[in-house]
Amino acid sequence: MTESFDPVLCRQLGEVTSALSEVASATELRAEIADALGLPGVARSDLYRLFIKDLPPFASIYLSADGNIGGDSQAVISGIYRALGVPVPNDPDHLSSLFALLSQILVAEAKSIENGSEPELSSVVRTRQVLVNDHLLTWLPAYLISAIRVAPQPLSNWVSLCWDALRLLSPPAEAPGPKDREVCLDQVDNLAKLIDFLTTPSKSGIILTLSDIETISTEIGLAVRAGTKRMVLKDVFLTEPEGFSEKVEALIRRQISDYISATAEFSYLDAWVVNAENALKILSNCQ
Amino acid sequence: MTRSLGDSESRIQRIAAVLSARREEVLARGERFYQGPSNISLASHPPFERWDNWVELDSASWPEKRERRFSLIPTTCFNCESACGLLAYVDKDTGRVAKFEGNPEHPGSRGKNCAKGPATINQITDPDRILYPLKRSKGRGQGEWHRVSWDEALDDIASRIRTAIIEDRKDEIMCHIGRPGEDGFTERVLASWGVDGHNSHTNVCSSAGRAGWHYWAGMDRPSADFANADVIFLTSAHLETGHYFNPHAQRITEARERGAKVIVIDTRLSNTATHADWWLSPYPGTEAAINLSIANYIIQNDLFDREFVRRWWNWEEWMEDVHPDKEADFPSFVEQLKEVYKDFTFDYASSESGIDAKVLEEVAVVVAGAKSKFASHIWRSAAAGNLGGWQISRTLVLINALLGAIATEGGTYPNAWNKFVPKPIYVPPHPEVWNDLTWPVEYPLSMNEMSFLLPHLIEQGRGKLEVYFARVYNPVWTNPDGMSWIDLLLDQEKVGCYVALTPTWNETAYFADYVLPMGHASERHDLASYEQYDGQWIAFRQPVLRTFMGANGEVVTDTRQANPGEVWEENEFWIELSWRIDPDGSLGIRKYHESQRNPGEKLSIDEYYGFIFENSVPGLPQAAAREGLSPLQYMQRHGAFEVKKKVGALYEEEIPDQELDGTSINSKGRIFTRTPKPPAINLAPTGDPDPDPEGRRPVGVEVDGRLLRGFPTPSGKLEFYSQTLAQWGWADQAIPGYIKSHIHRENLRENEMVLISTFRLPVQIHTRSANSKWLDEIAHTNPVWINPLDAKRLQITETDLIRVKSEIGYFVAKPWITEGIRPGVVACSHHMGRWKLDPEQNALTMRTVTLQNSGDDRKLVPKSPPQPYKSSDPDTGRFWWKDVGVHQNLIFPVHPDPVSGMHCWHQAVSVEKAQPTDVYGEVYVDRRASREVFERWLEMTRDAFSTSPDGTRRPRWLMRPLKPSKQASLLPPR
Ligand code: SF4
Repeated sequence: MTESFDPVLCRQLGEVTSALSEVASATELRAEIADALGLPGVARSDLYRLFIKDLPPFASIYLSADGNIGGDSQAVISGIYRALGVPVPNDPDHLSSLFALLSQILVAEAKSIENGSEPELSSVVRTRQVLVNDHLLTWLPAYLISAIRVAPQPLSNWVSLCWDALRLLSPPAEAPGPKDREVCLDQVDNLAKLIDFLTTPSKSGIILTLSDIETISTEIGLAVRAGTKRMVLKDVFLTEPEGFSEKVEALIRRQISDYISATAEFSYLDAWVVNAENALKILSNCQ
Repeated sequence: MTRSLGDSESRIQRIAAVLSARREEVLARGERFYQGPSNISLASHPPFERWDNWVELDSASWPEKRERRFSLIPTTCFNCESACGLLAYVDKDTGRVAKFEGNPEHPGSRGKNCAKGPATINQITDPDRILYPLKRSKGRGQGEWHRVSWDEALDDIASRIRTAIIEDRKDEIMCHIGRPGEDGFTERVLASWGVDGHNSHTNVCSSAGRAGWHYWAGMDRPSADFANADVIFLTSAHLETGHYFNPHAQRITEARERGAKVIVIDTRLSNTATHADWWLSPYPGTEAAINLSIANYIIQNDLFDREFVRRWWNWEEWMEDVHPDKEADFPSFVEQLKEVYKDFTFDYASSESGIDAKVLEEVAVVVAGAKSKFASHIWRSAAAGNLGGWQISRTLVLINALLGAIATEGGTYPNAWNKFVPKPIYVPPHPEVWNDLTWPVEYPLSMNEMSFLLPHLIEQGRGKLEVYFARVYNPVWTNPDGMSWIDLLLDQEKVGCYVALTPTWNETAYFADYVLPMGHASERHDLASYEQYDGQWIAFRQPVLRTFMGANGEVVTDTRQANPGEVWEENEFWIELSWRIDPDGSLGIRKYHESQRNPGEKLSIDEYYGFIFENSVPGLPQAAAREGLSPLQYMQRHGAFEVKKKVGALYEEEIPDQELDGTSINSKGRIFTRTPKPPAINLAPTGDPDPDPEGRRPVGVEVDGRLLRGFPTPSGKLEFYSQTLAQWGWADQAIPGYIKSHIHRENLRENEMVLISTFRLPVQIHTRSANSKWLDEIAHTNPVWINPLDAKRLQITETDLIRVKSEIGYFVAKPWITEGIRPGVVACSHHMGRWKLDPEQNALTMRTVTLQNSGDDRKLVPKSPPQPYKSSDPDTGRFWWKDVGVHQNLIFPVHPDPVSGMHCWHQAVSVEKAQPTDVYGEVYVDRRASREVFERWLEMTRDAFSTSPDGTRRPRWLMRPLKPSKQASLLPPR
């Protein structure tokens, strides 16, 4: 657990995670960074689509008990900044903040190796592992799997680079295993609860984006109203419950298969598989 | 993602190497490479991407860190005309607006605001605002009101209008607009009713500034490209601290940082003047003489852009009409040009203006050196103050036109090219009637409605009104000769029903039959676009809580559902009223207010704006689609859209062949075509020159053998010589010239001084901002500026009260002795001196008064200053100021300029110590004198009966908000 990286690799990963963080912050992106990352012609609207509309990269959305930003899961993540004595940013659990922090840690790690300062090094390595294992691997692989599905083309290299970086940072054997989840089938007994469930990834194991809902709706011949994800979902469920459920089931199956093919590298995905399989049962129960 | 670990590693290595190299390069330039997430937190504005869920710590909970979550919803400021972007912070838990800040997505204001923008929060939370429709319970002006339903008010008003239309009394319907804040909605409503009932405030505001531009270019405002200018020349007392304050000021600031020079001509030391490289404080009304001395310097020294003048001025017309005996070639023109302006030397301008000739020369050298990067601006102030003020504007354009600084980078554009007015769902035809109350025959060249003469014209028996709307307008307070307005409104024979559409109480609303509450910036829909740089944008004003509720699943079909109390918005109000005027569609009105999607149903606001955004704004549907939004949703989320950047010199545009079917070219090169006008989606108003005798429309102008778009003037060129002025009785003023003002030294009696009354303060806006407690705390009074030399001569100290006497009355004020004003001139700011008749009514800046009438004598007698009071806002119990200034406009008689129609605001006054019985804030007016002054100024006119060259009432090509049909434009039998 206290193994450090090669200092050169540390710096390289630090550089790349800084750049990945810039992209995720979804503000104006320097052309040099977009070029270097191979994001040809990435436009503000692409950033908007991925990071605002479909997959806001806040850890709390994917880890919290209600699928909302903030709350306890955000507070827990804030702890790592405090422990390091750095100011807690406005959005501590946003991927942009987490990657920026990771980048700083990796550079600090490289420096401690180069300085030969053992005690400092082992503390930095431990911090890096907490950050990666507890605050990234718990949700980011699942997030990236959905991002592959919905990201606008110019951002596909961003997704695959995140994946590459995460692989290098996480020896699979060292990631925590799945945890037991309490999913009580008969809790989801009305539409409101079903919608809450489907929009809470930590419970349902699936990530249903607005684009997914739009795609499915178009396939079954529905127009999608404007509004929040919950509102849109309610609308389509009420209009076309069966056709829509069927398609959602297919999507869940696809996500399960994507998770399974990556569990060898990111064993935490096992937990996502368990939940997503439960989601399938719940959905068919509801029907 | 089936790469081996080794592949991942080498990819990371490769990309890291590129990133590191790029980072080094950028850092070497002293720039920051990674902005980092902390940059987001420290950014001056929340990035757009986070507007849906913006979190801030609640300052009131400090030291506890309590998070508040907001939806940031854009809208447009409704205070001044700049239409800056605002972001409403809607608290997600309470569903209420917590504050307003700037909208960084707005291309004009770019996230910045003046103090009045964020003070919108005071306006919407004002505990004394009007929340429900009110009807008077007693006689007019007696101050008792009861609440009525919207239905009752609408039915009564609609039935009066319907009857007037059916009985062919269309001229008895009038809507008087204060702050438009939108592009043509109300005009189209009136057009749909078939009435010529639009009235504006423009002739007490900017007509003269506009006229100078319009006669030159067929477009009526400057759009100065300040940010790129080398020299900025401002002829306006308050321009950059009042009108267009924020969007202009931020660009002037940028230009100064780049090294641009700023020249301010202003008798008074304005905030802008304090930042200028040259502050010229002339004797008021001599600005045209200064402009001409600069022009003369440029002309005599051959410093003008010869090619530009040769190609783009209508010098041939001048030579032909005025110098038929001379060769009609360009060198002879230049000779004549030199001749005609040769007397405007620096010495002459100095003797007129009182500014040292050396300083004028120094400034002229700087101006000439700017060449095409000369940005000038004029709006109210000097142009609005003086008889012949429109020539101040025209002589300023002369400088631009000499330098070729028209529609150049760093120069000055005509506004219509930097403005975008998208075509709406319906464009009703212009009316078949001509309203003589707003467009009387004496003022054929008036730029806008002769609004401020209305009481006098009605007093003369020229007509009456059945329904009079004043919309966000307060003529009793704002217009000159307010007592004439009170007399008018008190007479029910003359005004059958007066409806005040206003968000707040004001002096005029007090005399209304109905007071109907309208929304502030965050409570109404409008679309705006203004010229602020070389580009075109539109900005969307929206009821932010309606949008918020909609995004949260609530179905809102009427803005009243989201607004406080029963506050409404005008768009829905006018649609509803139009339906009630014509419930069965038989009057042909209803069809302009009907849904196209669901025929037979009312046009909804979403359909109205949805249509515009989908069909009339190039690029908007595509931008919206890129974000997966509909165009309406895009505007609801972003609040503004930039239609075009860098419009450039449109007059140089070649006319495409498709537009050149069956053309004719007249002897001056004006090209006419039989090709119908391509459907326009930008309806920004411009001049509309007449067709040729065969009915072909003017399409461009031939210049050196090329067929170019030119300007929307009769000649297609810049009209140095206005044939229109010459043909309509003003041949003596047909080229830019100097008219000695009514307050010229030669016209003053002994001991008279000039009063400048038009200057504004940067934190107030007419009377509309008076319910903003923050703004009131900063500015609530208006002492009279007086130079120490004058104070000494008049033996006045700052502890005295003074009487300021005009031709028709006097007011009692406090003096402020300052070198910020030149000797011989006094100045008193706009906005202040608010009053109310009802002692029970609460107000932060209004004193309670009584009005005394006796024969022609009118007196406003102060009773008590505003008092702190208890309300839902604890601050109303804490306000500390008692001095709310004096209502000076009451003592100004009407001064209509015989050409532009502009009210000429400057006053010849005498100033003396107040008499022992005088009370601060007291105002006296003699109505008989007020009528006499009106008659005297009327005699200066040259009416259309004696001047019209073609039997029409007004040159058809001049802009007019509603343009009656050709038949209706003919002069009536005498
Ligand atoms: S300049 Fe000030 S008052 Fe005018 S629109 Fe902008 S913010 Fe509002």
